[in-house]
Amino acid sequence: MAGRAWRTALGTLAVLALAGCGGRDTSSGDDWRSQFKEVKIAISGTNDDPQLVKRRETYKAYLGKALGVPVRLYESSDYNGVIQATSSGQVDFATLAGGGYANVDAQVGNKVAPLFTTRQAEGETGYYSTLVVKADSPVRSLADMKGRSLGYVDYNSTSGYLYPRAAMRKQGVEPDTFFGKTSFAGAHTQAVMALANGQFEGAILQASGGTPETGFTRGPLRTLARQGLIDLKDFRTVWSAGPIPSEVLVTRTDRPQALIDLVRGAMAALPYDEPQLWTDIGQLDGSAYTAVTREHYKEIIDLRREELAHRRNGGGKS
Amino acid sequence: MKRLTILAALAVMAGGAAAPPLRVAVQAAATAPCAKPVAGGPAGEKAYYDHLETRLGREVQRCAFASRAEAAAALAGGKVDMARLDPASYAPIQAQARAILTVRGAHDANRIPVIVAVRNADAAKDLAGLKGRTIGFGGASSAGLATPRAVLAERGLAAGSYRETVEPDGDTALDALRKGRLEAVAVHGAAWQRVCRMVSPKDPNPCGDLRVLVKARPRATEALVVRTDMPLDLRYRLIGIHLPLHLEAPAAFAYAAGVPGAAEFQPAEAEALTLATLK
Repeated sequence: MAGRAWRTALGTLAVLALAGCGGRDTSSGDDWRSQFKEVKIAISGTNDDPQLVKRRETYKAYLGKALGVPVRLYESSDYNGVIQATSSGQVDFATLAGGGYANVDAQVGNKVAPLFTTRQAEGETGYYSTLVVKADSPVRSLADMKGRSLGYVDYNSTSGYLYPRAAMRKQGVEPDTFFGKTSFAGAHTQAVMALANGQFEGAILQASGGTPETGFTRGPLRTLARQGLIDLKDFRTVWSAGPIPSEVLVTRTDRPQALIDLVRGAMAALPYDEPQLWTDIGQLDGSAYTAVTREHYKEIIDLRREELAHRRNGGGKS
Repeated sequence: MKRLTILAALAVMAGGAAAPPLRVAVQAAATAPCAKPVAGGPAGEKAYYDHLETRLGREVQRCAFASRAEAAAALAGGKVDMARLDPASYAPIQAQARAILTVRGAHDANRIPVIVAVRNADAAKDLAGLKGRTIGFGGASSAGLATPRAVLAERGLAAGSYRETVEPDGDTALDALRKGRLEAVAVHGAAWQRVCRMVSPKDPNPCGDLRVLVKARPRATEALVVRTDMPLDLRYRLIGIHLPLHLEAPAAFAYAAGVPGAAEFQPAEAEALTLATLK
């Protein structure tokens, strides 16, 4: 009996030792795995964009291997879903546009903190909001849009609502009275299709991977063009605002520091360890993650606060 | 009861043992055994070790070596866990170790991939075939000019061994290559992507008329290096701790970066200290 107990004990030890050799660290702080049977990450997006679907699966596979626990992605087709999941603590991490983070910050303050954003090859860490019209439109500038219909993306969209409205005001255009009619398309790709179908005479769209001077390589226009759903030649950009601080990965600050460091390191290593995967998920060659703090988003946080105050005072018919 | 006690003790030994210290190699006047750093060392040294120790939950020791070659040998031999190496000291141990972090200077681009390309019909098979010929660059920025120049130079095409033309941007350089005004281009990866990425299913390969001779990141001058058998999550945690170090612990960062004008730590590919090419 005693011999069997020893054999069992030694067998257990052997199994534990083998587990330790399987690429898993045994340092302190790793006990978070006993509390987290899975790690939850929120992202926004819809299934109509194959790049986003691929990105979700890529995140899951890569992070699951790095973390040693399954990764569950909480997908929401609207901005508010990710914002609320992050604010309420239903998820551990989330990717948010600057405006979304500003909304979360207004709700829960330092219970959520930014980890990193993307730094592009030329050093920029931002993207742009553009006003796009159909190529055959008589509209050549923002001024030409006076009295015409405009499509925004979503109230919680940074490039599709918050930032361009502030930029218009800085240029002397009051967006609540300047346009004939405004409404929300719901998402960037829907805004493109609504513009193509003549629902709006102009649409506010995100563009990235370049500057107004160099031209852009990413954004809803190019996503739909690559799918063969539109032809870029049918559209024209007449105005732009930016750069806007890029999307941020945030974390709930009450999560274990070891988990936060591990996720930050694993994600940051992706463009170097898996460069093909990095571009497959829609990132540009030469870009990389760079650490940021709340200060990086202060302008957006202030804009969100001003927009809320504006609405409370009766503005904002959109 | 006795057996249960023994089993419990074995379980504690297997699963709850204190983590071994992380041993970091540093260059010093003389070799010294691994130990926790004491106050009175270089500015920021203790802050760096304390920061690592707090975040890793294990003791972090300083191991002094008189040269980088000695530190590299100790790393390969399992006597230390991380060392700052340069290409020369890394070369003898590259089968057992990999780079994980480099330092980016405040005015430097990321270590971006550079693409050197020619027209399909060009006779050049490699960079040597571009000696004495006209190479176009996409702009005068660090990413547009300095980084591509560095990639060419470290692969045998030093300044002066080719005729250099600086175009306003990558798009213009690629257009000039197609029109025959240039014989080759050296542009960064994003500039190449801007022109060559598919924008319509009708034209799945917009740069099918061009041929890539080399795609490579510039070789790092220094990197933090670990053994390839370091557990994956410890390697990622080290990256995750160093990435925001300049924001969270500036004094520790200044010490750990080791060079004036450093902006941040960046992750690195395993072969960052070699002349490896990318696919």
